[in-house]
Amino acid sequence: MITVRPHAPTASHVPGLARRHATDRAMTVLLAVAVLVTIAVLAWVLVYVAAQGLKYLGPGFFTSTPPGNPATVGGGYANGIIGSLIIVGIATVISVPIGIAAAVAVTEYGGRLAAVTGFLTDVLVGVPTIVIGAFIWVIWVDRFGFSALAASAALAIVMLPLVIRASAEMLRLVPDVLREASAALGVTRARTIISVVLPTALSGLITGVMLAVARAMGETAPVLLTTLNDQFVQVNPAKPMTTLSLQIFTDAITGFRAAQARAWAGALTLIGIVLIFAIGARLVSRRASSIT
Amino acid sequence: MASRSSSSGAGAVQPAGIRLHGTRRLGDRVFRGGVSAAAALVVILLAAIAVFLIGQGWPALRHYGVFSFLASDRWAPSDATAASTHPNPYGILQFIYGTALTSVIGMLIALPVAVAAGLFITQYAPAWLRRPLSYLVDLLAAVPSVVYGFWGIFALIPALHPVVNFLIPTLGGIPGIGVVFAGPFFGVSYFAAGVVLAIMVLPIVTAICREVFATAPADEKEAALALGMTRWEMIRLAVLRRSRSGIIGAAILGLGRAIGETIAVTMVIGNSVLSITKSIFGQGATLSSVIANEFTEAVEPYHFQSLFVVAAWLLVIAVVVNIAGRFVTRQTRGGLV
Amino acid sequence: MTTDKIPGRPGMDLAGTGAGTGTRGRIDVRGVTASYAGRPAVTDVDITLQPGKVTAFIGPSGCGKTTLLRCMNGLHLTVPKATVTGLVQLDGTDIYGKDVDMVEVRRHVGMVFQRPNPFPAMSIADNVIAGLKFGPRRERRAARLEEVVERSLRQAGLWDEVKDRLGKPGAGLSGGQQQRLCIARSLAVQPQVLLMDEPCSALDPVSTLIIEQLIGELKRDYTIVIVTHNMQQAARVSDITAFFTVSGPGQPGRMVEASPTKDLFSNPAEQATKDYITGKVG
Repeated sequence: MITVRPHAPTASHVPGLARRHATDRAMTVLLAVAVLVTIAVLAWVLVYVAAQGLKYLGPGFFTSTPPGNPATVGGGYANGIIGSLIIVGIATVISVPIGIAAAVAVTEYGGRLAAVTGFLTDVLVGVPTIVIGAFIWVIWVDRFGFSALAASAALAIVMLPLVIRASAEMLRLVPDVLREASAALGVTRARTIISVVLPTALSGLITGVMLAVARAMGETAPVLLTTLNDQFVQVNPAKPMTTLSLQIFTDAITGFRAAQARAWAGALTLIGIVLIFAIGARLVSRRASSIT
Repeated sequence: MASRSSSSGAGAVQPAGIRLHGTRRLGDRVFRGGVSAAAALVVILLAAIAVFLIGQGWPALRHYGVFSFLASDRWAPSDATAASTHPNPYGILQFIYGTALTSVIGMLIALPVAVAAGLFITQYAPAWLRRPLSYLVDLLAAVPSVVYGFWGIFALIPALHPVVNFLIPTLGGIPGIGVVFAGPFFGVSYFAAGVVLAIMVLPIVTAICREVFATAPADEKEAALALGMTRWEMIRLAVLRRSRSGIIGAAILGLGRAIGETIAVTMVIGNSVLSITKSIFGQGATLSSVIANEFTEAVEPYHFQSLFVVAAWLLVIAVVVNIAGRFVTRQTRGGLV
Repeated sequence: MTTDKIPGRPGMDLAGTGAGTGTRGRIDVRGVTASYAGRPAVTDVDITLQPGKVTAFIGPSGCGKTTLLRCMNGLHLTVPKATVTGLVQLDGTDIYGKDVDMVEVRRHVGMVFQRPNPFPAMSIADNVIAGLKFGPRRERRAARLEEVVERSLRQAGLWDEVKDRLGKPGAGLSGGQQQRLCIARSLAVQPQVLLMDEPCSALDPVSTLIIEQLIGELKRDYTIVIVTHNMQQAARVSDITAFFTVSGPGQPGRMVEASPTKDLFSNPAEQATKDYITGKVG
């Protein structure tokens, strides 16, 4: 015998409905927890580094160099900070023009070279940075010795695919009508790209470069194999120059408290610099999109 | 009357011939040549990396034989002499094992969290919350590797001790696989490296998942709801089911990122290079960590060259995994081309 | 309205202005078929676009009016796998000929697009002279750029509205003003022909009226071709109207007839034309 129940759509009348709702609620909570855990880990890292770093960080940290003996208390990372700025600066000067030019070749001209380049750029992003450091060691350091230039070359290779990718994305966002309008005026292809397409994409290109710079400042592995860590301020790019990341790495793995204290302050400084570039990039892109 | 057609490149206009403004044509050609050269540089670079790495490692490859490196998990530079070619003291199996193990642990932890976070951000969070949440998750990627390693040693590992001390007696007691979870636990370990890697790959995997989930068409979602499904059931049907390949692709790409990570791993893995350590709570090494660790002190015969053999293998593995990941996700993401 | 000679541009006669000078800025289209990846969009068109006159292309969507327009300045071929057969002559010169530089052709045949598209990275003044600044050096040096800015903006009827803010970006203008800026930009390179692809379809009625009046003034010095969906606009603005249609769904477009506007609208020669203008067909 079949009992026909009244079709009231409440949980008590429809079997299993209450359970399904409970599952639904549980999943919502679970997913939210996942996000919270992620953010909590981020906070944990930042707060911990800040707490440890602030114990030692002072204005003297930016103006003094580390002591010769790592066990000695005191000193700072002035040489590493200067070294990072110089080395990443040179790497930027190398990688940005080549990167934007390659992005132009891929997006504006297309063709088989462009397709291959696009694919290989994605491959290059996945090459471990230690491998890039080893490569530069073979072709440069082996012949000319450790130097800031070698480290810059390695970092330029790390930055190159990032610049190409970001630039290509920005160039693609420039509406085609603008290229057509320029062509309709009888302006040549090259001129159109230089005078219309690139300026229109400019703020996006800057954002991409800043993000690549932020990434390069934090890199240690490519620098590890191409330059040397020491306690002297060096501004000659042909000579070995240490970076902030290298100093932190070297000091962190010693057993000495004094060295580790410096390393924490250095870590806080490095995060600060990276965040300045990363957030700065966001601000540039936000201001740009509010203008257009 | 002849027929004219365009060339294959997008936007290419190739009228033949020069008339009054030969210089303009030349300028265009020079410009195009210049940017094409820049693009070609990427191709040359990748080829050069492979060639020079193998070139530097060639003496060791020739001396011991190419495949002998894969035949052994014993890496003992002190055993090496200039004359003996067998057995190969530079077996790299444990580095491959270490790389694989730490990356897999990292992905096992990161993938569920990334999928969950991606779902929450795209399907549950109100519109105004989406950008800030995404931004915060992405910020994890801004933290430099050396900082993660440093924090890993002093903050994470102490926090892992109670967890691991719980797991060792419970999982370590299981017959058969128990040896994989055996103590002692000294902090630095495959497991610690895996946890750090999980945190480091989380942002990229979450970002890809977000992209994939955001493409689920609204009509399908509404149709599911209209059929009387709860929100979670709708997501399982209209979002997750169609995102399968995207999630797999994200996992593979995250794996690729984990494989290449060096500095954070070398700081928390313990750098025990002699052979494979059976327990995940024991110390070990990866392809990348051994290079970073021994590069400046490789004085034994063929030690330095063998490190380049390691580098070559690392390059191959990382590139293959990355290409596989891109291949799987190419329908769901843009990519460069 | 005077048109100064731009020195340094040989090959085309730039002397004087005015209607009826016969061969200056005449486009002859003979047997032109334009296709995309082998599929024809418009077939076998024969028409002459006369200087000093406005010719309108009307007809339902998808019958190739815009495609044909873009064949007249070579932009059609910028689409991958696009082809064109037949003859397009500018004052007797085949623009697709072996020795002809299309970039140069476009200095003589200008185009205004459907949506106003001033260059966002440039000011109003820079937009106007963009074609000159990035063109051949000879013309750049010869023309006095500030004069060109004023002359072109006056020709486009925009001078009074923007003369105090020439340095501001073009994006700050209204839609109608932006479109007149684009017209000024095209006029600055002193073409003989102006192609207009539905120039008012994205604009409000007031701006549309202003631009229609502008077209009436410009035709004295230029050959103007305008593609429009709006029959009444064609009736108001043009001297000659060409009606296009498709023979059936999925078929390529074709030109049905081209006649003086008054004749076409009061007494069309073809039934298809009559059906369209009386609204029997959409």
